[in-house]
Amino acid sequence: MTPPAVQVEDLCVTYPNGHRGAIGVTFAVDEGESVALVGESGCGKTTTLRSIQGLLGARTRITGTIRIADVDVDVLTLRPRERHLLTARRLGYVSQDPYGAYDPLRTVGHHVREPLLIQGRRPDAADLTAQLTAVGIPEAATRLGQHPHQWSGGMLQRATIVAGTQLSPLVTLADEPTSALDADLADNVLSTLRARSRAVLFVTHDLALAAAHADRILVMHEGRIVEEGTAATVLRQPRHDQTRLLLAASIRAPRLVRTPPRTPTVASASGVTKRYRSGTGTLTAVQPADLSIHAGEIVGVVGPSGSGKSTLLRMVSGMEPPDSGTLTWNGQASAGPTPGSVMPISQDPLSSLDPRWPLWRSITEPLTVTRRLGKAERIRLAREALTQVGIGHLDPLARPRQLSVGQAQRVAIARALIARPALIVADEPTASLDVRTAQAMMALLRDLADRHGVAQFIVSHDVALLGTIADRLLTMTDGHLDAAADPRAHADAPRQEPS
Amino acid sequence: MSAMTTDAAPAERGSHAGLVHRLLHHRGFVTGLVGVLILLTVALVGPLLVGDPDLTRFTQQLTPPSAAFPLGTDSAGRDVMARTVYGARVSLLAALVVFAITTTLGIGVGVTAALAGGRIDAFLCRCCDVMLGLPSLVMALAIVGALGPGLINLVVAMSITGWAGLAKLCRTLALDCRHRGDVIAARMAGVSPARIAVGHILPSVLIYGLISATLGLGETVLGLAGMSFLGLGVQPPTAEWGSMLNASRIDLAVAPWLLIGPGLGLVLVVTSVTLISDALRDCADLKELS
Amino acid sequence: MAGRVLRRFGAALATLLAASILVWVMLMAAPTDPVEGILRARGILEPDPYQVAAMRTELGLDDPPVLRYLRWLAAWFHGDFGVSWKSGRPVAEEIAQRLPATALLTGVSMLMAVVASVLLGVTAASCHRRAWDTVVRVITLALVIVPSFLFGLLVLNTVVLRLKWGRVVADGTWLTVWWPALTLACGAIGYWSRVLRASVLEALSAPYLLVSRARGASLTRQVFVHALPNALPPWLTIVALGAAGLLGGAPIVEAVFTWPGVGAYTVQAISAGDAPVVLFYTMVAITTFIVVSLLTDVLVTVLDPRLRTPTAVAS
Repeated sequence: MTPPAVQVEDLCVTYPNGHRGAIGVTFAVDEGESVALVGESGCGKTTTLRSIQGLLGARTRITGTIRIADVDVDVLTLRPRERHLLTARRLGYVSQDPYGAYDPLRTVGHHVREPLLIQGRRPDAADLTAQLTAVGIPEAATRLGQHPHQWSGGMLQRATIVAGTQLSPLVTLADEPTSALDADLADNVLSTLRARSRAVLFVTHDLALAAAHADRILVMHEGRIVEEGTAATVLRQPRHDQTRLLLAASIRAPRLVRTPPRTPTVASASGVTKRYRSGTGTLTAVQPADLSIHAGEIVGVVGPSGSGKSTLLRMVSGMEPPDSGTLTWNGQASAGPTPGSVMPISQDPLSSLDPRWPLWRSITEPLTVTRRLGKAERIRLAREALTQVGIGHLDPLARPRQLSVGQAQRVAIARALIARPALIVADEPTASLDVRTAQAMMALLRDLADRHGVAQFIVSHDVALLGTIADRLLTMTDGHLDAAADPRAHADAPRQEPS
Repeated sequence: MSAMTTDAAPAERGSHAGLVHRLLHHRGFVTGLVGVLILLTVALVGPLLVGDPDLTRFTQQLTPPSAAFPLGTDSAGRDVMARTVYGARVSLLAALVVFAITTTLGIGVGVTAALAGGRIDAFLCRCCDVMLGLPSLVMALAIVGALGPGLINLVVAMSITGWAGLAKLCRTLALDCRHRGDVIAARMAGVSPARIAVGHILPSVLIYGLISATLGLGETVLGLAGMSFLGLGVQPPTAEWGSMLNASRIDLAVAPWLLIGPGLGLVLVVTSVTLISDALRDCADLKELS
Repeated sequence: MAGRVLRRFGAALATLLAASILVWVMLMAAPTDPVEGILRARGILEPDPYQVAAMRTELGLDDPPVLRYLRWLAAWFHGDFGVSWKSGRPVAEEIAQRLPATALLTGVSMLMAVVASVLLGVTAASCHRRAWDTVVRVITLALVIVPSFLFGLLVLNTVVLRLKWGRVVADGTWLTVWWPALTLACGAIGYWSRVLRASVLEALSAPYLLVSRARGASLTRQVFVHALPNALPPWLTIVALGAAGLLGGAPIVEAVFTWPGVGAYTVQAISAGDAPVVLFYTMVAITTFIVVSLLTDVLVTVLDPRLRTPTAVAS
């Protein structure tokens, strides 16, 4: 029997700050196999990948053995330089953020050629062009001479895969290769990766994605491998709690699409537009858009970054006047909503709380606009508000730096709620949260809509997550708001890469 | 190369209480602080312990360091130790005054521009750009050239040339604050702009503005001493480190000890200030701002 | 790209004009009457009213300021830099003898500073957290902290006076430029190598270098093909700003080594209240500063493909 392509035994990684990234990790990747390493952020999956590739800092302590099929030596015993020369030919590497993987000053061609140049081989231009054309890059010959910023993320990631598999490595290691891409591009990129590699070991936090593209799945939690099995087994009969949590996080039940309820309109827009001056010309951020939000419903807007959805949100919240069109709040056209009737939740919860203020002061600030309140009363009200958002155990006298990101976001929600708003607007409210916390946050928002009848207008790029709570999903592309097309309605339609 | 762990642990941020705690555990900061305390003690208490810095002794010119004169005497027979101690007062006070004026001007102009917006903002920005587009030491030379040599004129010159960078920074800080979650929430809740400015924006701009102002303090001390060395600052016979070093030039061949007092003093000031400002920058995570 | 360069050129021109007005108003339209000072400088201690009036006409002081400024500006373009109030000779003549010495001093110093800081910065970054890195950090910190005139005096004392290397009286030629130039370069070497070290280290921790490392790139390749080119643009901007700092520091070094340059001459002029000379030096320094930063900006634009070509795909 042939030895496995890569074999890791009892791998332990300790960072200089004492954090243990991997504890007794043991697994193997066989020739021709695709293996997924799945877990939450911080579980040690990237650490494991990097220790195989030799990318951890010199002061990080690594013990255990790592063997590569045709080398009869534990690579951990080699000196760094020897090791890099040895592993670079046998292990391919594909990184997370396609733009980050490219030196902005060098052409894409330079990066695709680099693995060959480093091994002292002469790259063949025609061959490279053919390889790129094969993974679906149009006009590859010209495009090789362009710089990374002139490419789209999806194309760059495919070029990274071509570069990473140039030397036909035994195993291609990929670190969250699709996390920076839209969902429909992710499948395509992972298929390309599989097709070009002899064996694949990829890291992801998305169990569903892993199941679709891997033969075997390893689930990691707090530095250890807690579950291992074929994709089908892990997906159907998860044994470990962590696997179940990841499964719940990746397979999301979309909420049923609802028509607008017959409750009063809390905010509506008709024909609003917004333009910005940019350099020489003007950029139309929002084309004429119509929209109405009713009490108690959650309206979501999804779209890629730069599509104008945040601008639309700022107009609906009254923070930015539209160039044309009208906005009404509570059925009355005016320059802005009544103070406190529309409240925001921001993307970065930590920066949305004043670090010098105790929680009670931040939370009850909206109340001080109309009333004078004593400190004791404000603390009492803050405690009530904290209870409403599920963190009643927190001390209102605490400071923001004692909170986790998720707790800080709940405090921000408490501050929004205390003003008794008719509408809450949230721009990417889960962007800085990990998968589980994000889910809990979405559940909280849904609960607030159901229990308190607060309407919500939420903007996100995460269609699946927002889809679990939104009554209606609108899509926005290049400034066009499409109110009719709910992405959940035709999720199974053929996918196309936007050019 | 760093650990890729972004778990839900409490986040460390540039908050006030956290900053003080981190600073007190920063070796560079503590060292610098000790240096500053020594200097302040010398400047405040020292004059009580030494003799008259301007007393000339024609019988004891250029004597090497001895028990009576630990740092020797200069060409007029004056006690170099006494002159160094008195010189500390002038050098430190001048640096502090320049620091106070540039910081006040910088933060004031920056915050005013950001909060006022419109034409006032555009005008103040243009002023800053012109000031930043000019070499500061040369401008200081020109201003002293216009006003004439002298300590007060020198302080004025250094103050006028030193505020623009800080003003730009504070303007950016204040503008960024307006997009911060707490400010947006306060605005939408109907909190008045004045209360937002005082409660949310000013405190954070003040802290970061002060910290980044200290980054230029070492340069200020060096600039002041350099101009005094050229004879454009303190006029004789007042003791000041820069001018003392200049005076020592003539007798350097026979009396190298003249360099010790003012030289060590200057190095101690700049070292302490640099250590403190570097520590502040590291601890407050100002890297992206400086 | 052309648009960017043109805009930058316009801004530089505007700054130069604004600076000329500022400096001119400050020095030439100062409230103090220069006439008595000038006459005293020329040895006339108690001038009679006729001499004062003649002087005022000679200098054109009775014309309205705007006219005087425009006349000065026009003359400047024709290479007429005015007359020294003290000596009565054209500033251009006075300066011409001394400018080469200062140009030599700052030029050699600039070269020293760039070469030394590239060597120190790059080697320190490549040996991050090893002994050489620490050595370089200590050296550069010391260079930043020690004032140039103190360093100059120490050099003068130990090297020139005691060890007898080099001559005590600097004569403004290649033979004696080395110690003064090193003295002038010190602060710049310290500051620039610290910035370059930090800049290269930052580039070395970029994600694309992780990828490059995974592909087996040697340290040399990592540093010279990827990290250094990316670290250069911000560093060049700092160097451009520092180049003018050298012109500001030149008077001090010239004073220490009695270097026969423009800087020391200007300092004398400041003490004597000789405004045209001060004005000339200031304008030369400002013009150099603005031209150097403009050139650097253009260079940085040319070096960076992101500024050269527009982003084709919105992402």
